[in-house]
Amino acid sequence: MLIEFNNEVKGYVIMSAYFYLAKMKLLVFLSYRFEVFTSLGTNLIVVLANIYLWKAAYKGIDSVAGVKETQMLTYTIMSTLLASFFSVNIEHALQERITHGDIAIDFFRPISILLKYLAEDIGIAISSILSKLMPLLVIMTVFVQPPVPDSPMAFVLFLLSAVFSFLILWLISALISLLCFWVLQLGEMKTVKDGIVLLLSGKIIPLWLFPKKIQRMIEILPFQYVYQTPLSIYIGKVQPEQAIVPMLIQFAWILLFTSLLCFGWSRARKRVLVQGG
Amino acid sequence: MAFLEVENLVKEFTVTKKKEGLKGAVSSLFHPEKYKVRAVDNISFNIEQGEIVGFIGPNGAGKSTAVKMMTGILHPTMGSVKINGISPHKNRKAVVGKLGVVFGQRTQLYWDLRLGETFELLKRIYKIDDKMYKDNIKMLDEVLNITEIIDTPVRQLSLGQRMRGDLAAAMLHSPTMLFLDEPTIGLDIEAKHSIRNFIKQINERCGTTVILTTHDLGDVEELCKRLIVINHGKIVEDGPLNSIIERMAPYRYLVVELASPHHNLFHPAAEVVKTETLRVWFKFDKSRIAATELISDLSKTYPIRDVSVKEPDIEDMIMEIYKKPVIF
Ligand SMILES: Nc1ncnc2c1ncn2[C@@H]1O[C@H](COP(=O)(O)OP(=O)(O)O)[C@@H](O)[C@H]1O
Ligand SMILES: [Mg+2]
Repeated sequence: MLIEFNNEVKGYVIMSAYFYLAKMKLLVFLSYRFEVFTSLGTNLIVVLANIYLWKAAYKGIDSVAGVKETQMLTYTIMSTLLASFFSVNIEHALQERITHGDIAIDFFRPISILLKYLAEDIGIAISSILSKLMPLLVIMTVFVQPPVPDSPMAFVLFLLSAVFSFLILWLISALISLLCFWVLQLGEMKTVKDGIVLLLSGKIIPLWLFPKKIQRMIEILPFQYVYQTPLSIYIGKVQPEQAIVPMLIQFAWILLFTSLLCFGWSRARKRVLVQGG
Repeated sequence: MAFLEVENLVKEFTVTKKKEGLKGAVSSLFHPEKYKVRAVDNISFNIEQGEIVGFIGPNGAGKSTAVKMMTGILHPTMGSVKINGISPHKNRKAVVGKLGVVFGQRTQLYWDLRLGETFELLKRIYKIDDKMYKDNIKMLDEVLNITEIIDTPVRQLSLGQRMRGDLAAAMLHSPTMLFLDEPTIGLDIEAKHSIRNFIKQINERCGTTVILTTHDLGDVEELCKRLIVINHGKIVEDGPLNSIIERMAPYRYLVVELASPHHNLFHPAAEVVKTETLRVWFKFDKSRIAATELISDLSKTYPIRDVSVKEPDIEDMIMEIYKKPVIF
């Protein structure tokens, strides 16, 4: 009885270590004011360009693949909001720690290193909600159109699906950062990955506009589950009762990537070389 | 069972040879030429609780690599480490919770945070309860004056202040064993002094076992009763400071003060190592000739006013290590 109680207390305290890591990253990132303004500027340019593109494409057309112009504009706006929230830092952080040898300190702490980076990235993501997503949402609502969800249920499912999306994206990044343990420098890997996600996730152009053959090929990849799944639910292209299947697939990708990451991590662990004294 | 047991520990690094020029770069991309460096070469020793052990040896001897294996950070190529009977490699989280480490050349503090915020984080990571945390902060304040810098952002700390912060961070969870890898590197005399005092204090007050790698002979002389001397990855000496000096440097110096300047002083059993106008240093092996004999020989031939015998110090010992041939 006493032992069980103790474990509980310990469980709580160690949770609070990850919580504290997230909180501190949140506060630190909120203090980067310049970054906040530049990112708002770029996001505004991107989203306005997309809006005009879609407005032009929809000229004289009522709907494409069952999606109306206002839905498409909501899709584009929400896509930019999601992108500003999906700021994953693990590749950068891990590469820095490895090339400077500071990874040694991480391996010395009695907590999980991967969960540490996840906690920090969650902290950063939450800071992005406050400093990047919210201002953009306000500007869009006032000057373009309020991105209204298809239904309250759609909104709830969207939130859950977007969390899954974040985890998929984070796991892909974490898997790529593991390569650092083998090659030290990731070089352009991150850019390549970002490019692939940009093209194949439906972030800019929804995949239903692609030729059928290509759509089928993209379907077996994880990328569309990062953007298109939550966005389609949000605009009602996928109705709540149909949402269960894509969300289960999201969940399956999370499980697959998590087990790959655990396996890869145990291999990387033995390869750790610490640079410098 | 000793507190720390290191057995036949080996670490090999695989290094890719960089070839020169563009042609070389291309060829090493396709046919990388790899070779192995044995940074730590089969070392074994035991350390008991409460000891302060100095780990010394020239640059590149393998000290840091050994420390990183003992603290579970690096996996050994061969051999084992056991702390309190448990391997930090097989059971990382169970062991490292009771260890502390400070690397003089890098910090474990968060650049973005204030020092106190790093402490708060460590309090959570090591599950330190409020009472122990308070007591330890109080103790660390007495030894390191920590409250003076606790609200300063880490990036604004001077090197000496940062090191004080690092040492405090390593002691917050009352580790039973503390590893210090060149903690005094680059510090001024005053900062060095306070760090030596800190090591002495925590060893006396908390019974913390300390393993200290250093280049600073002052550190060793002031702190370590036992030395482990390492060179080219191998342990060349292990024992009390005095007896190691005795063994590595089994000679004495005879300092002779002359009544008038004299050139070309000579003795068949001793070597002149240094001369000033009226002073000459003879180095002699005390198993070959006794000091008294040397003095009486010299006084027969030269006008001697005064003599003194000097024992070799740790610096002489280090010089001997550098000179020692490498046996592979
Ligand atoms: N990550 C690494 N990769 C390759 N060689 C390394 C690495 N770390 C250390 N070494 C080599 O191992 C040897 C021992 O280094 P180190 O343990 O840092 O020595 P010390 O701390 O005694 O100065 C050196 O020859 C060094 O070049
Ligand atoms: Mg070193």
